[in-house]
Amino acid sequence: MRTITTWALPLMLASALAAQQRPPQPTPKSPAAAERYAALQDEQKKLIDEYMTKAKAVMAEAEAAKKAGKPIPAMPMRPDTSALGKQALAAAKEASDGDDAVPFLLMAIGADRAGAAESFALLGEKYADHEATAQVGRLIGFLPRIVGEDKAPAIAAKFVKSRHPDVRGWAVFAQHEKTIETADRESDLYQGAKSELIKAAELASNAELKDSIREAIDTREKFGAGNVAPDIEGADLDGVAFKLSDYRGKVVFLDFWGDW
Amino acid sequence: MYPHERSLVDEMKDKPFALIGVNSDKDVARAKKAVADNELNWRSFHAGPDGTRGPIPKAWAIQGWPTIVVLDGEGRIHYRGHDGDAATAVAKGLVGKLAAGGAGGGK
Repeated sequence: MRTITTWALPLMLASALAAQQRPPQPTPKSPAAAERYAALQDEQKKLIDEYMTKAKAVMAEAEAAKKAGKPIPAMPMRPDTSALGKQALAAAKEASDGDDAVPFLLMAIGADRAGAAESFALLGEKYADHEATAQVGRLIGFLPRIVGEDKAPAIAAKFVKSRHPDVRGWAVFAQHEKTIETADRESDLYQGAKSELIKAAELASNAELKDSIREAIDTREKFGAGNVAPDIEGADLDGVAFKLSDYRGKVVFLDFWGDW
Repeated sequence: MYPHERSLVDEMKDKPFALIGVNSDKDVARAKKAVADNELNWRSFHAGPDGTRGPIPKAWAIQGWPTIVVLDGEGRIHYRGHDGDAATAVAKGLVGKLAAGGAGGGK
């Protein structure tokens, strides 16, 4: 089961945004678009650098406050990059082909959460086959949370038809993930989803996608309802050894937890 | 989650039921502090110094926290997921079957 906690999504979008700063990111091919892209990238870098400087200062303050037993200051808000995202979307709309448009759309998706639905829709509508679109493939599974439950299915459907094996693979994975998690394993529904996913994984070249598909199927087939769970031999928090199988004969509510 | 689990343990005290944790904090001291501060009333394995990447979460292919797995009396899995209420309902159903003389609700 592949899940993300509530804080992980903004984090992922933030890293998509930060990824814009790292090569090898696709950049527009035509000189005019490339220049416009570089200007937006500079602006984005400035915003992020400013934020990082502020955040580091607050972190140092917090460290000092903690030692002195004083109230810890709040972290500064993440920079508002929505205006930047809107400019990137506008540039994508004016672009003449995918080579120019997709880099702007990737930037727009990372920078402007509110506008992500429009950017994603355009990406699916016109550039689902483009190589660079695969870079946001992982986000297709999170479309309901990024663009809303209502808009997600239509956008996801565009990516399912992609001729790019990684884009299509991510979309097929998003489509069947729930079935793999919950459908009756003997059912045609489950078997159909499984064989489609295995095929998609074979065609794909992205390692993360291949792993995610394999893990989802493995998890279900090893840990799905009806399987006998493996034993755990370990030690409790005081270091005293015990086993999960010590509790045979009782119903066990096994809770993987952490205090974070 | 803590209050829900605490009251579940209390409620099921005299029944064939055990809530077992796999604490996935890297630092066992932090886990023990959480147990003390929140009066946690169940036993936990410690996943080790690698925390969420420790051997138990790895062997069980855990990718999100918290994850709950509900097992019947024979160690068979009946629920795996992140929904505490759904897991609780499954566990209570199994306890009911066990109490009624079934073999732990095994399939």
